Amino acid sequence: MQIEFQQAIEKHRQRVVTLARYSLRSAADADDIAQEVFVKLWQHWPKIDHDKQLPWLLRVTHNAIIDFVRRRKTRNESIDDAVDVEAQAAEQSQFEALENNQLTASLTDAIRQLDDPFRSILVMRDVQGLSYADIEESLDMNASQVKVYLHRARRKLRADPQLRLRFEEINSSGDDAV
Amino acid sequence: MSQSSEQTQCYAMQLQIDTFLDGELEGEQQLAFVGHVAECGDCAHELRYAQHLYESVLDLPKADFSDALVDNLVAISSQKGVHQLRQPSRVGFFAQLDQFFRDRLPLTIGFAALSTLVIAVVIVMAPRVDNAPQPLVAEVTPDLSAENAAMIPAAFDAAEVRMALEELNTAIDYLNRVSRQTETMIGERFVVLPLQQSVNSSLRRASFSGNEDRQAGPI
Repeated sequence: MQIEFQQAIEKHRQRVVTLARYSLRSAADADDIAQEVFVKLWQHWPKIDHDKQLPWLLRVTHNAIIDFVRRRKTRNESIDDAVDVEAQAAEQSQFEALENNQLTASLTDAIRQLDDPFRSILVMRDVQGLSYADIEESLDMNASQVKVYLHRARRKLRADPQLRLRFEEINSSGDDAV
Repeated sequence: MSQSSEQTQCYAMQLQIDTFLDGELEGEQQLAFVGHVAECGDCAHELRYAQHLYESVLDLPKADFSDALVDNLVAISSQKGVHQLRQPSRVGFFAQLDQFFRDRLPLTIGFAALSTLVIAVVIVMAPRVDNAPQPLVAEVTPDLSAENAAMIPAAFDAAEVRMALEELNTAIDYLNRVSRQTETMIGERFVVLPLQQSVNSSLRRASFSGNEDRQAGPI
């Protein structure tokens, strides 16, 4: 059972952490959520359907993120924001180093600002390439709802003024080069 | 073609951009979309922007956590009885609570009666939260009858109307979800927390007024 648990961590860790990282600003918070999710997996190991391990993990991650954000909102947000900013400045993880590209950074920010379930669906489908079946199972929605939420999430991203500005800059610099 | 009609057509085409990017636009719809984009500069620009953004999202880095966290998880799983390890031990607490209530029996009875009354009032006064899925007002029909189809303006075909209905259903579903979350949050904040605080402060007052050498912590 322990070996199977370790295999599950290896297999799904990236999916769980990616969903958490694109939902929360602080990498440390995202890692805490991921760890909490895998601890829950171990605690519920005998009870869960292991054919649906990934949807189960994604559902637990999604719920943990919602709970975390709700808890944070009930606390003093200004203090929390300051802590977040400090924590973010202190962390120079590999993931954040990959965000050096300006468009990528704006895109990551814009995704984090999306409401749920738009954000989760966009991250699951477009960033992680998960199947519609897994997303439906993990968020308890039908295929049509997932697709509509996904398309609306993409439209919301396109409506982000920062992203449009970046695109126009890239576009105009491309035209200049020609 | 009038300006408003062109705008309507552009809006309808831009709604199909994501279906096109997913490769799910077929037949006449695909031909109409490609034909329109070839002629309309604004829609072509919007499609380029959407495609660029879509590809950028696909290329976003995947995150991973450190091996130290994995080691930590492996260590947790190797501990026997981990299910109990993470649960706080309650034996001592309940024994302490039992002793506390035994020492203050009249106060306990009064407090229990008051709490029951408060809980009963809260249950009666609280708005009913219906957990069952809310019915959607709009239903997607597989095919529109000739009579209904005739009522739809020529600018929209059956597929667009179906898409609009799906959008409407999703909007309703989203509002339902937000409403359920809000109800839960209000319930926690205005019912559970004040009750918990009231119980804790009563216990604290009782413990200070009685034997101060006893340790009777809040719940």
